[in-house]
Amino acid sequence: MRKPVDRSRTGGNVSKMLMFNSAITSLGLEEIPLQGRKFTWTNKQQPPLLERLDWFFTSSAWAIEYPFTTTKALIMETLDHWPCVIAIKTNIPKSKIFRFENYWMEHDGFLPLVEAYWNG
Amino acid sequence: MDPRNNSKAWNVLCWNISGLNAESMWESLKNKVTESQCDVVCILETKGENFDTLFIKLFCPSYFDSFCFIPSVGVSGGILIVWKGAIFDGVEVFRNNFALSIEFTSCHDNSHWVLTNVYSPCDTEGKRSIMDWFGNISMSDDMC
Repeated sequence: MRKPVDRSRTGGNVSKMLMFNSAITSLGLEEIPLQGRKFTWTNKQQPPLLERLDWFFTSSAWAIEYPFTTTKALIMETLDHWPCVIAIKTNIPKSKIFRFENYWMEHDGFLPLVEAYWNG
Repeated sequence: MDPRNNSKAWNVLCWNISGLNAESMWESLKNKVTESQCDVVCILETKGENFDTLFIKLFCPSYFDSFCFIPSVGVSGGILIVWKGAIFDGVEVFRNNFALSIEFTSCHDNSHWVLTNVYSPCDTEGKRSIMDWFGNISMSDDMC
């Protein structure tokens, strides 16, 4: 955690936060902000303790090279950590070719989805 | 706002999953790999000491054909990075007990960058040694 607000309750270890922040600063790292969620971990108790335990950083040179980089959390059903996706926009043109992946057919949601679209 | 709507994005999925041994986990992971349309999968806390292509196929589509890992210490920690070989050439450039760095070179435009996954141990001694390391590294082009 970097700040006391990265935890849903008071009681975070401030000296560890300071150490973490000073290491980040001395390495010249830049944080990629996480969109849409304040915390990435839950202790799964009632009421839950929530903390921001997952962080994403780049070097400043990297941030200039890839300025359109975002991080988002996905929906998480079961575990204590949320999955996060870093999307790095490139200058590579999108392919207009449609590719069918055979493993789609193994996915439980595949047939119902095709059926739904097929039947309009 | 984003002028690159017609450009490709590289997506990197990062997930601390607290163990990669349960069958139920493979299904969740496979769903997130599909949902995120990722090119690179970073798994923290694998709690696994060894991985091979067959095992990785349980939770990644087969075009995720390249991987690198640091084993867990007993049932603690472990990092696994899996990527699509058609998108990136990846070479391991650094490893220690808490971190794994892969230098990726794009198969499309030859640009290259380093991805570093870091997992901090939970115990006091582990935390101290990661902070010692973290406070004393010098890196150039890096991302974690």
